[in-house]
Amino acid sequence: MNARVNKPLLYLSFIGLAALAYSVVDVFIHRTGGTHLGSYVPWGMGVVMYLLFVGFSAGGLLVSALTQMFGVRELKPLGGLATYAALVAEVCAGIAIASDLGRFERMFNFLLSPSLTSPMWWMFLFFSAVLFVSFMKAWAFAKRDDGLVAFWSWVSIPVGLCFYFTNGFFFSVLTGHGLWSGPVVPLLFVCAALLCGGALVTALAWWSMTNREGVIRLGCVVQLLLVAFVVLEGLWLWIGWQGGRVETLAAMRNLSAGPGAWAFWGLHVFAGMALPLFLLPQTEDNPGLAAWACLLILVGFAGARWAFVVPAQSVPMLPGLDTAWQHPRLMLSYLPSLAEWSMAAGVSGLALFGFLMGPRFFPGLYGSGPQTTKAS
Amino acid sequence: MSGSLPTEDPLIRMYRELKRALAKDQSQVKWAMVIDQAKCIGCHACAVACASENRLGPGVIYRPVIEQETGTYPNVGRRFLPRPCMQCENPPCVSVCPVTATWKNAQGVTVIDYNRCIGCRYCLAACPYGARCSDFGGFYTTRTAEEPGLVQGRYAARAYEKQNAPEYGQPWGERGKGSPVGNARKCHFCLHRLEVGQLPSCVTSCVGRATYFGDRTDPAALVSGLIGSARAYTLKPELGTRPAVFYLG
Repeated sequence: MNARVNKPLLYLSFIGLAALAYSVVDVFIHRTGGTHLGSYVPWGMGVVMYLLFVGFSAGGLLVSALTQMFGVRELKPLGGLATYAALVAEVCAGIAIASDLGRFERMFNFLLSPSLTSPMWWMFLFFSAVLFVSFMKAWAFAKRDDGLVAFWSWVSIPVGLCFYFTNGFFFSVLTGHGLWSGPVVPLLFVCAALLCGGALVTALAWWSMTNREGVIRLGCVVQLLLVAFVVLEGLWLWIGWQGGRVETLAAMRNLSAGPGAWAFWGLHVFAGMALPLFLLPQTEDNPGLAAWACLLILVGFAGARWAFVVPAQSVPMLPGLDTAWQHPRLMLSYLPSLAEWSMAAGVSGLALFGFLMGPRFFPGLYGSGPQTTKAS
Repeated sequence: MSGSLPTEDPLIRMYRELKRALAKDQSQVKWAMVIDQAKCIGCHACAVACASENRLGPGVIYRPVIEQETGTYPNVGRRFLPRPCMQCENPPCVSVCPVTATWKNAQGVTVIDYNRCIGCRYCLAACPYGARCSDFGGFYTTRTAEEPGLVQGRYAARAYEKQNAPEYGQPWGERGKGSPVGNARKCHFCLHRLEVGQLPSCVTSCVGRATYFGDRTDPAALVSGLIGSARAYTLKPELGTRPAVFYLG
């Protein structure tokens, strides 16, 4: 295992942590007033970052499912790392979404006055459950108790699947937004989460030189998941297009030719799908290339989440609504504020710090003994 | 007087009907609104009256008036669509709220408990009419001119912001950090006015008498007759929300 810390990346994470401090102070002073969100585009960078890190956290579920259900023994040494990465990503996702609430201090109302009809309440429940199970799994890995590891790994599979499903379900019930609603969206979210969770673990495993065979094997799984994701996303867009609802088509136009089209075409389609699809089949004996391809998937996923969240909202609920009353909070365009960029940089910096310091702080989770093979 | 002209202002009739409705068992009352697009002149008086009545902050609007162009040149027309909350019978905003901060009251009005709302804005995304706003906490006094003697400067705006928002009959106090800042907000048919026997401010301020309000369970009520009109329609009926706001096209 490589416990050396890459100094330039560490300094970069410090800049991110400083940005996080700034954005947290801004949230405490201005709440959502410091954002550029509005009533017609109520969700922006906070939700994008939440969904991004929620996706990153699925590596723990993927490795658990592959080792416990499908008996892929080569991935067993990556279990601790995957669990640690999931914990870090979940904490980052939690910070991103909590700071996006107008009244974050009332989050206890999730417990005091729950609504079982709300997908958000179920998402909260499963988020808490996934966090708890990940923590218990990490504890079991640190104790090197194989029985406990197996127990919590099994528990994490249904809990994790429910959680990633509810994230998609959360959007699919919003029938006013044609692009979001529909039964394909929850499946798309589960597949996307497994894809980028697996990509993150692959990249981290290569980076920390934990397990060469595991990196190659997981790279193959990521490749399969990427193909499945491309098919599902194509299906999702095709159904929207064929359905022909005016709002859906308008949202699809925003997605493909609106101001945020660079995120869809450049980041998501080119960097996050086309390049990895080209690179991954060539990584059979090259874990380094697999890791870089996975890093591209992660970067592309940021674009995918932006393209999913923002363009769908940039369609007026009623024609002419956006020009009926003039105010910056009543517009269809959205560009994040400094505070929102700071939050995004902040949680990314926190995640980077966590991933950099992981091998040093939690060597038990990264596997025992020195790594014999070097990353290429 | 000619039979084609109204014998009394519809407001007087609606006040009479309101009095009748308030005398009834309140669980039997269902409020409804009818907006006659042929009479609406697009003056935005209802939007301004509503904002003033509910002490809405900048960027918060309950009843914007949408301007619609119809036809193709040279046969074009212009009409207006005031858009309050539809007070749906099957409201998508209610079921998605994770903390039960919003619900339908006995009279069919969707209300919000500001003290329970966590400001997640899920209800904003769920409303297919864009009828909910988030209060991001702006102030009219920000960047407002201030000079001694200026009637409409910061002093005047500050006085407005210090007034108590009357919504839901609670003392929300001076506009600042507390609720409803950070909350979802929406039209509530001016429940605080109804309770004291007054019609919603958008109804009383309507210059063209294009907005009608009343108890739709009362067969003799003006709104009951209008809802039965062949001109009556609701927005997005295909979604199954069953609005209590009707338009006369």
